Amino acid sequence: MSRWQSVPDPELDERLAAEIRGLAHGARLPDDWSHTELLPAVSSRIRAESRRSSPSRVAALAGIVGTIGLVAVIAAVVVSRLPGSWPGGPYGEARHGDFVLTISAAKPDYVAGEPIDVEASFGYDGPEDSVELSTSHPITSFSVREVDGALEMVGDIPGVCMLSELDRHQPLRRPFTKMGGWSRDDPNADFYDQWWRDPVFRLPAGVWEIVVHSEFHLGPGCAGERVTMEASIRLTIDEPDATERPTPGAQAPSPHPSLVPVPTQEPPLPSPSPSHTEQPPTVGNIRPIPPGPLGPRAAHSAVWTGSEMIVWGGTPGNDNVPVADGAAFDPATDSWRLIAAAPLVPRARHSAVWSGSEMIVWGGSAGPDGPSNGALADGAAYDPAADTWRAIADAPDARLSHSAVWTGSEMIVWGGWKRSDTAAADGFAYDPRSDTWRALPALPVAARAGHSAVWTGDTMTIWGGSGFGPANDFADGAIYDPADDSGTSLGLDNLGPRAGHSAVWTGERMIIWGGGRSRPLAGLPFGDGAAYQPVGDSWWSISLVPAPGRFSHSAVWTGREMLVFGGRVDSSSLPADDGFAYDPEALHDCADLHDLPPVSDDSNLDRENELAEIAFRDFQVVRIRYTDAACQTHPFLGPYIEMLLED
Amino acid sequence: MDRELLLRARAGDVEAFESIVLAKGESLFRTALAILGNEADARDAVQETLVRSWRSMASLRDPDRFDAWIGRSLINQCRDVLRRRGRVRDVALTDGRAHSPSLDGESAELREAFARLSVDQRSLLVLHHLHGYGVREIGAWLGVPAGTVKWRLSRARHALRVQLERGQ
Repeated sequence: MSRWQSVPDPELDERLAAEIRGLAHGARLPDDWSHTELLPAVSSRIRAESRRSSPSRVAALAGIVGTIGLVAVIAAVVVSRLPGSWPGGPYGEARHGDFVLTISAAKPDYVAGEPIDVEASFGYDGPEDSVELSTSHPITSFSVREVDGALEMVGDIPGVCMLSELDRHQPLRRPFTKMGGWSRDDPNADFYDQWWRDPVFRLPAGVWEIVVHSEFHLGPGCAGERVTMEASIRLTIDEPDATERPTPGAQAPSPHPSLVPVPTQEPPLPSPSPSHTEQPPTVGNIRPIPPGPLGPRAAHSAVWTGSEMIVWGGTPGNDNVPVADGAAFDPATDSWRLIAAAPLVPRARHSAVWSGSEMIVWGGSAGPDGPSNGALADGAAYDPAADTWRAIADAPDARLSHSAVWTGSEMIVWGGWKRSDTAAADGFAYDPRSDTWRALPALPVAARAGHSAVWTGDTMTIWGGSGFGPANDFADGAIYDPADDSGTSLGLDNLGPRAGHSAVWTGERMIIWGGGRSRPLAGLPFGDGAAYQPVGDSWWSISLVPAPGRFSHSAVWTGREMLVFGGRVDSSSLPADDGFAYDPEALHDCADLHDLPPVSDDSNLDRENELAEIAFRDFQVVRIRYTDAACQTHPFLGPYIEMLLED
Repeated sequence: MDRELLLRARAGDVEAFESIVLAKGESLFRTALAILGNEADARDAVQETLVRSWRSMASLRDPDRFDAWIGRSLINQCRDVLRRRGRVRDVALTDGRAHSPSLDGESAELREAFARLSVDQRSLLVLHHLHGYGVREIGAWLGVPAGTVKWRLSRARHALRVQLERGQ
């Protein structure tokens, strides 16, 4: 492929500098433009925002109006809305010191089965630039109570203690999220089963109270002052109009007398099944992987043996309880087979590598029933040829959410959580021939977990992840060279910080995909990624549109495709039980590439094979055979290819 | 930039931030104009940059790096402006440019070629040639390593040459 080369051209540089100066000063601005035009435009907006959100201004106003006016001012604070809440809809707020918790809905009345828009906001308005909070629960969780009935969906799932940093006047917003559970013994268990599995927030007819809770400790370590807050709103859910009733059989029957039919225009009530991500067929380099015999799965491991992808362990539900089963997927036949039971306790957030003859599983978390520090130090090796397992020596330390790569002779594990509040920046190497471990030095990057790692042939490249502390998610990485035990840091552009993503090595590039922000209330997982090529230290942004984002999934490289399996598409649904295969080398049909002018950056020609690798406006890189008629006559590609060929 | 002013603005002092707007506004506008090639777009980008900077002043950790911090925001806004207007490669050179001096043939070709570069490439070249920044300073503005800036600068120059040759 051709590569750009830098050719010094002082004369062109000089002309260009003059032109750019001409461009910058081409507009005649009035002398007092900043005062008369820019400042009024900016000031009107920032002063309006400042009035809405600054408690110091409210306090100052309270001082001016005196004791009589104080009640009115406080009332005004209670009903004032943080930016982003819906005007006109119900609104609730709670305050504790400098913390504000709000909840709002788009409107007060909904129809049974209609999706309900509710958002919570948790902010800090105190004097510090930011505050540190720690919590073993989500910072906010939602509950729903039937005002005149017995139904109550209580949200809350304990986890490991995590530190978050909250910036002043930068409230964290979170749309209504289901995170909780129910008891099988409950007389309304059938209703709860349906409701919790429904990815859409909707309710049967009645009056409902929607509550947002916040529980956290001031400072790190979940040891400081514990604060709990609660704000709520009420919504009225009406019976649907008879004319909007669905046709018979169009939805699941209601297990609860108060659950009315769902209008046909809306998605059907949930079926008790895992999330399947939609795989629209656009640009031809994505194909679906069918659900396997394991069911939903997240925080599992996967390796590529040369002919099969073996998936093992992980969590099938939303309760963080792991399992110890596994299955192998053969992409040649699109079929799955179960593998033998492992001599290991169930676990998730562990690692697995393929040594050439065995899958080595190590570390991880045994879930709520595991050791108190949460991490495991044992492992086992699986031989697919014999369908048998053998135990391996315990490592010197335990880890979870770490990374592991196979170097050709050793398994290197790096980073991860040592305990629930301590991430690591070092690792160990395991030699299966001697069944021994050796310690490795720390790399020149921040300690982290939930990162990715690939072996590039002679070095290990780690990237992303999250740490314990204000730094939170990372968008940097490091390269470790075992030949001399050296490490170098790795910068990154094009891709935002994330954890719970995947990375594979194609032989030429590292493809990073998916993941999400680990900070609480951070939203849905990413559906984008990037390809990093060590030669030239270059990055390509990639977007696997239309595959929806996932986190806590697995990915392996088959030599031709990246197989993505399981993971979560949001934090409330069950994990996915399916996956997709992404072929970055797949040739796209130019006739399918609509309305996407190519960008002139990151484009390459392979003249020998008549292939062009072109970055588009959304930075998705596609490969085409540029001699195809549809490419040459494409309104954007035609002239662009011509330009490239002239180069 | 006056450090005391920045600290006050970071603490929520609107008047202090307005002083920053007066001090920085025109420079930001000139930079945006060179990148976008359109006065209306440049005004939009600068206004939005300043309002967003006010909202996130609390996240400014190091006041000494304010120029790079707000500069990065400006580049992002320039990208957003173009994205919203649906113009990525072709920037109309005459839009809002009624006061532009007439250009000779060579100058017009160069300006046309420059306008056909991606917004990121134009940003790099503007930072380098308008402000005289080196690769480290540009890296700070863009939030990327100096090596990446060097590589991108060379590609931007190459792309400019390709456009110039194409126009001849």
